[in-house]
Amino acid sequence: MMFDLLFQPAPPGASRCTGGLTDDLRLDVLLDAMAAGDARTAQACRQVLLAPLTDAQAIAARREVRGDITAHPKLFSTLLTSAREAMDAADRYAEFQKPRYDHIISPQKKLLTEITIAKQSLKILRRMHAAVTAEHAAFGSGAVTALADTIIRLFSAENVKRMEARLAMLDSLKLSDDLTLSASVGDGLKPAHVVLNTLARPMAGRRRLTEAGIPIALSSVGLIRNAEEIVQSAVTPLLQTVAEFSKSLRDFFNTLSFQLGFYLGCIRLQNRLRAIGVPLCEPDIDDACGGMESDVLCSAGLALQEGRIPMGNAVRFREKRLVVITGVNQGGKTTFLRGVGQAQLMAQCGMFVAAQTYRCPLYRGIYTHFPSGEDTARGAGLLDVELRKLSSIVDCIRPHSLLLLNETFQTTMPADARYMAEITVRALTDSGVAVVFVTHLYAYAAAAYARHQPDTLFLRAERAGTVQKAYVLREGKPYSSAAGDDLYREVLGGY
Amino acid sequence: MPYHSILFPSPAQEAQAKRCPWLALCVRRPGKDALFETRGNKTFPVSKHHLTNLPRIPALFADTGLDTVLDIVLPDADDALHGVYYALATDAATVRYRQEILRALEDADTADHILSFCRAVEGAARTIADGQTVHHASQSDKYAVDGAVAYCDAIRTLLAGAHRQPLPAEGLASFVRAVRAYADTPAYRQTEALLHKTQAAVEAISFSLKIRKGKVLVCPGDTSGDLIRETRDDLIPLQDTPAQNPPQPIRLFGELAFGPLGNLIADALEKQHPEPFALLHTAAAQAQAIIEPFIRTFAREIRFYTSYLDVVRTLRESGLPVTYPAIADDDTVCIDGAYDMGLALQPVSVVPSDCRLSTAERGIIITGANHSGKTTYLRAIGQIAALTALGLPVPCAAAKLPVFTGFFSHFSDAEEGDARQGRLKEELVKLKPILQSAGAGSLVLLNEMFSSTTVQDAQTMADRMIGGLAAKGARVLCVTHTAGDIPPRFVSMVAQVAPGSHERLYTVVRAPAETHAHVDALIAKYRLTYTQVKERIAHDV
Repeated sequence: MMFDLLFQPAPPGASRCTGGLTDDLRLDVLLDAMAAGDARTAQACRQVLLAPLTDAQAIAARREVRGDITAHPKLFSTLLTSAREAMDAADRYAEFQKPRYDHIISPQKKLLTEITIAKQSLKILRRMHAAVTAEHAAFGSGAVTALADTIIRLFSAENVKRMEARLAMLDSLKLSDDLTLSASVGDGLKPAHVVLNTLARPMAGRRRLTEAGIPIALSSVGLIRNAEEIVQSAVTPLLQTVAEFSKSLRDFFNTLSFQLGFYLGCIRLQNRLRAIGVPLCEPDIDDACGGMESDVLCSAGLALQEGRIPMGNAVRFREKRLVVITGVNQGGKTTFLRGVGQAQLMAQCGMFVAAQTYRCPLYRGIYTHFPSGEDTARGAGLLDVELRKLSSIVDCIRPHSLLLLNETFQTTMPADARYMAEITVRALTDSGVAVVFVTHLYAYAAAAYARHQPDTLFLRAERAGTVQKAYVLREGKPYSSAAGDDLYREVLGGY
Repeated sequence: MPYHSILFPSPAQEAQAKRCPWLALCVRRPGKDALFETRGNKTFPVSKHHLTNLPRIPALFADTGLDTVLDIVLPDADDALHGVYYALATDAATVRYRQEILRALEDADTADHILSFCRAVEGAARTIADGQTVHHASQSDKYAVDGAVAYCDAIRTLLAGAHRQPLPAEGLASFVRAVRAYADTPAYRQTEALLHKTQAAVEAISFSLKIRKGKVLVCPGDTSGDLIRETRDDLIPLQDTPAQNPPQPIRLFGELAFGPLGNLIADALEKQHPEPFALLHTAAAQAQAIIEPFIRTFAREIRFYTSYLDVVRTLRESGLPVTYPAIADDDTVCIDGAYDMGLALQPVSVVPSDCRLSTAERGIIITGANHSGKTTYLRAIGQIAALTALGLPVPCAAAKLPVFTGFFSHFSDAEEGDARQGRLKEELVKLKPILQSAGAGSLVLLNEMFSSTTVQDAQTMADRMIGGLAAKGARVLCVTHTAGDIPPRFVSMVAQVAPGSHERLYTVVRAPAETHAHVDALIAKYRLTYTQVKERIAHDV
């Protein structure tokens, strides 16, 4: 690889189960803030977010890179826009490269197109080189230093000049198909060890040098076609070389656009959250800590949606394998769950977290199960859909992962639901999965509470009389009623 | 002994092998594709009465399943080589000759040495033949010279290799001696020298083609500048490791013959360099017919061994033993761990069985439950006997048997099941030549004879048949389920069935003939003996 700012061990897309993660955790809100309308940035951020890292060193490396980029935002923005410009230019010419049904594009024409694309890319690389050298910065992270070095070294003024000169020389193909080949005689009298000596150079003056040799006039269609075939065979390796070069430049721009897009998106998100006043911190990754610990954890997505600081919650999941959250409707349970999910995801992607302090282990995967009412399930009952989704999660999940369940098993009778919940949740926690379970199944929660197991934590969204304690979860015995009554009275009044 | 052929040590033995009278006993067996016939654009199923154009296969091969094995060994249906397989040797000397060659070819280095020679010779022959289809005289001549040079180089390599490491088998060694004698003649040496000189002279010509508007110039060679390499050096791609492949070399004139432009270029070259081309025309005349017939035949016939050895390797890789049989002078048969090669190649897992016959024991009667492996056993022994006579290694763990001088088989189509009136007569008509031709030193395989008549008649006729054959000195292996007494000097073997579960074990061992034993056990299992049936019915009243 020419450079790597993302330290991803496997190509993104290796995790198979993140299909619903974007919807469940409402990552779209975050992604919109990161991308600010740019589709390519959004795509890059989404791919990176959905592939959280599991290696503390990689996360630390990303943090360093982020530090560097935050310190020099203009430089990296310039690099990003230049890379995008180059990609756009190449895309415009891609039209010409596509095979058409009505005629075949000759290698000479393809070569000329590649030369044009390469020339444009070189212009942009020159600009990038100038920007990097002008910055004269000493970067803190090894990766960014390596990138800067690569740009300075490979795209120095003389290198670029040499490449441009070579491309200009090859451009003479525009003028004519003349070329000179030399060869010796090989098997079956056919030419062997064929070497392309030169392409024709434009004639210096009117004087036409008489060249020694036996002339063969191309006086018939067959002869003309044969000559063209010879020219094409000779030009094809040239085309291959220039195309490989062009492609490597394109790959460079693509990678730069992808990786810088992610980091600049992070900075954009950070600025927006700061503007709203949301507390931000760098997460402390500690694999031995056994569970998340945080003060004033907010849901970043909610902050962006509402434009103000949401209520923060304390999170004390240390040594807890199962967290059961019960409580009033609209008490902030789902928001809390989403907040936890977003925070852990961002922490494991090397980003900051919307909290005052945050310490967490590294999970091998983050999974969610938020059965939604809008499931357009035809022909299968809602419970079937839920269970199918749960089953596919169980296929992928591995020990030491995090699973967020939001009102799972709600779509059937409480007795059945409790039975299923007890089995599956116990199986998951016994397999080493950390489960956070938001539920209205009072019987299940009460039974679990009565067991008094030290590795289970019970949180509830409070109510006091008719006033809801706004959105803060506290530890406590599960409520038997979710105050639906209050809500009913509130919404429907005296009916 | 002078070299005659890689397949037979001497002409006399070859003649004898091809003269086998039993080869005339052939059957027409439809192959898998011959069940349908295509006329125009419609396909019709072919009824058995219209099988007129099917190949004739010796009955032994069809019955023992060696025809399917042959299809695997020679997938390209080379008829000439099929014929070689049908010519079974009848003497121990040929068998040993072939076994020696096979053992030598199992050594990787020797095989490589010989096979690369054969490939080179066949390649050279192809080049010369291809060249003859080309119109342009000089090009055709060049192809001929190229092929001839490849042929001479192959011979030199073969002789050099054999010099370094002499070949262990008599057949291969005598072939190499013959080749050396052929290559040492002054005529050959002269031709070889001329060919090399010609090729060098022609290939030393270098020229350049200048393609300009409307014309092509053929000029003397010019070595200035390699544009492609310069471009590569200038446009270094961004990878740190130069992992990319070098660009394809430029290849002009991809087809066998030049097009019109190529012809004109060749003519121009001839005009510019007259002497090499004159040499070319002289040399080509000698090159066209340079390949010596016995060498060409060797290259083709060696495939008899190598293609079979490929199949042997497949079997060995799946864990099955394949060994070289020892030739017994005293008419004893001792085969251990035999299995059916056709089944093993399918692949189906196979169960090995043994076969021991002393001089005094003239044959085996095999009985047992249905589908318990009797026919498969017969096939396995038949295959081993035939393959031994071909000098090839056999599918078993160890074998020592004589080289049989006659092979006869009669496998009735017992699976057909539609008893027609004339079947018994047909069967007897087919058996007549067997009785006539079999004699001492023959092997006869009989499978379920006379299934289309009463048990009593079948038994009588079978006894008479087997007695007649044994009296003439043939060895008989007979599968039947109507055994009466075992004929004198015959051995009884039974295909085993597990006693409790009636599971077929598929091994065949010596045991008294069983025709009803398994049925009794079955009856007992389901409580259907006479007393039990009566009791049960009475009880239900």
